[in-house]
Amino acid sequence: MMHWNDTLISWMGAFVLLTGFMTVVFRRFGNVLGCYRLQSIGFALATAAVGLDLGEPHLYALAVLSGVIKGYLVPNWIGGFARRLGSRAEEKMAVSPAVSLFIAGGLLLAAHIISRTAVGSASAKVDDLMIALALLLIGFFFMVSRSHVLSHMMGILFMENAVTGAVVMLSSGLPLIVDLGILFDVLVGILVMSILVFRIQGAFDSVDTSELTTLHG
Amino acid sequence: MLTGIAFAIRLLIKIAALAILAPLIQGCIKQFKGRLQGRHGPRLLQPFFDLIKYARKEQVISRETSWVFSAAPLFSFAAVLTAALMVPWVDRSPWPFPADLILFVYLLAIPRFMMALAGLDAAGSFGGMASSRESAVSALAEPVLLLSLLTIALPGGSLHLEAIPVAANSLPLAARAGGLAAIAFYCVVLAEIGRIPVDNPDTHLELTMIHEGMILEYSGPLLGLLHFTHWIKQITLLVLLFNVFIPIGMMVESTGAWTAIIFSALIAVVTFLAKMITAIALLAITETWLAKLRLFQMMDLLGFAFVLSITALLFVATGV
Repeated sequence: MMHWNDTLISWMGAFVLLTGFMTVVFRRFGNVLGCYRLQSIGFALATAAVGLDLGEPHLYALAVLSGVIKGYLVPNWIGGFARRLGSRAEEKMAVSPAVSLFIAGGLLLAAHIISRTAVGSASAKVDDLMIALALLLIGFFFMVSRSHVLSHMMGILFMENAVTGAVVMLSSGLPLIVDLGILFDVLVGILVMSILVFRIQGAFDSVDTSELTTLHG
Repeated sequence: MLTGIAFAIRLLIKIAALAILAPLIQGCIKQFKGRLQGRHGPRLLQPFFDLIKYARKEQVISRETSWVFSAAPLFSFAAVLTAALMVPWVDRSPWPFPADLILFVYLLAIPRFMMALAGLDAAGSFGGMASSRESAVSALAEPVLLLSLLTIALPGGSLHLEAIPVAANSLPLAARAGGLAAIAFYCVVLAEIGRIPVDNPDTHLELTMIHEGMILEYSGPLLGLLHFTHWIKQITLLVLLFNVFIPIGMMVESTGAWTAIIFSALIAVVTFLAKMITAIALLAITETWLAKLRLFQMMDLLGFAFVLSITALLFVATGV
C-alpha cells in the first residue's frame, strides 16, 4: 500500500516531467515562463513531501523558500525583462516543436538507460534519477534549440531546477545552508545574466543570438 | 458471463440510456459553456429539439454524389454504436464477444474513413479540405488512443475493455504512468470529438473547420443522424476516460443478497452521474480557457500526447 506522500512524490515526478515536455512545445516565451513556474512549484511540493517522508524539517523551509523564489519571484522578474526587451510573440526555433518533442522523448530514453546503468534497476530511486536526468538534458536541449537570449537563461534555470530536484529526491537534501547558497546563486546568476542581456540589447539592438555574427565596438 | 435474454435486456437498457444521455450531455456542455462565457446558453434539451427538427426536414442530396454519400452516416452510426455498447458504464460484467480495445479503436476508425470518403464524394471544396484534415488528425490521434489504453491494460495482461478496471485493481490515476496516460488520452479525446484546441464545434462555414466541413453537404434526417453519432462518440470517449482511469464505484459482479446488489447498483449509477458531471465541467472549462490552435500546431498537441503516452508506457514497462 502506497502512502499518500509517496503518491505525491510520484505524482510530482510525473508532473515535472510533463512540464519539461511542455517547455519544448511552446513557442511563446510567456508560456515557457509559465512552465518554469509550474515546474518549480512541482519541485517545491516534492521537496515538502520528501521532508515529510524523512521527518527533516529543513526540507520544509527549503520547499517554502524555493517555491516562493523560483515559483514566484524569478518568473516575475524574467517576465519583466521580456516586457522591457519587447520580445516578439513567437520565437525562432532551430527545429519544429513536434521534432523537439521527439528529441525530448529520445532524451528521456537516454536518461532511462543511463540511470539504469548508473544505479542498477533494483534501486527504488532509479526513476527519480531518470526524471531528473531527463529534465537536465531537456533543459540543455531547450537552451541550444532556441535563439532568444532569455530562452538561454531559461535553459540554465531548467537545468538548475533538475539538479536541485535530483539532490532532494535522491538523498535527503543538502544541509540548509548549502541549499540556501544555491538559491542565492540562482538569484545572482539571473542578475549577472540580465546585465549581459541588456548589454547585448544595447549593442546589437536585438536579443536574437543567431544574429550575433558581426563584431560591434 | 451473461448470456441470452439477460444480455439482450442489458443492451436495450444501455441503448435507451445512450439515446437519452448522449444528447443531454451535449446540451449540458453547451449550457455550462455558455454560463462560463457570460451568456445564457441554449436550453439543456436543445439537442433533442434539434434532432426532432432534422428528422422532419426534407432531405436534399446532390445529384453528383454516389451511394457512399447516403451510406456513410449509416456505417458511422453502426460502428460508433457498437463501440459505445462495448464500453463498460456502471458494471464490469464481461461482454460475451471477443471485443477488446483494439477492436474499439478500429471501430472508431470506420466512421472516420467513411466520413472522409463522404466529404470527398460531394466534391465540394470544403468537404475535401475537411477530409484531408480529419485524416491527418486521426493519423496522429489513433496511436495515442491505443497506447494510452495499453498503458493501463498492460499490467493486467488483458485487452478487454471491461477487464481493464479490474486488472488495474486500484486507481491508475494515482500512479505516474496512469496520470501521464490520462492526460494523453484527454488530449486525444479533445481531438476525436472535435473540441476547441483542435476543432471548433460551434462555427460553421469557416476555413478552419474539420468535422463541420465533412458534414456540410448533409441535410435533414441524415444530418440529424450524423450529429447523434457524434454525440454518442463523445459520451463513449468520456465514459471510457473516467472508467479506465478512475474506476471507482463501478458495480462488481455480485452474488450476494438482492438488497446488496441494488445498493451497489445505486452507488454505481450515482458515481457514474458524478463522473459525467465532472466530464461536462472539464470540457466546458477547457473550451472556455483555451483558444483554437492553428492547424499546423495540431501536430504539437498530438505529438505531445504521443510522447506522454510513450513515457507512460516506459514507466509501466519498468514497473512504477
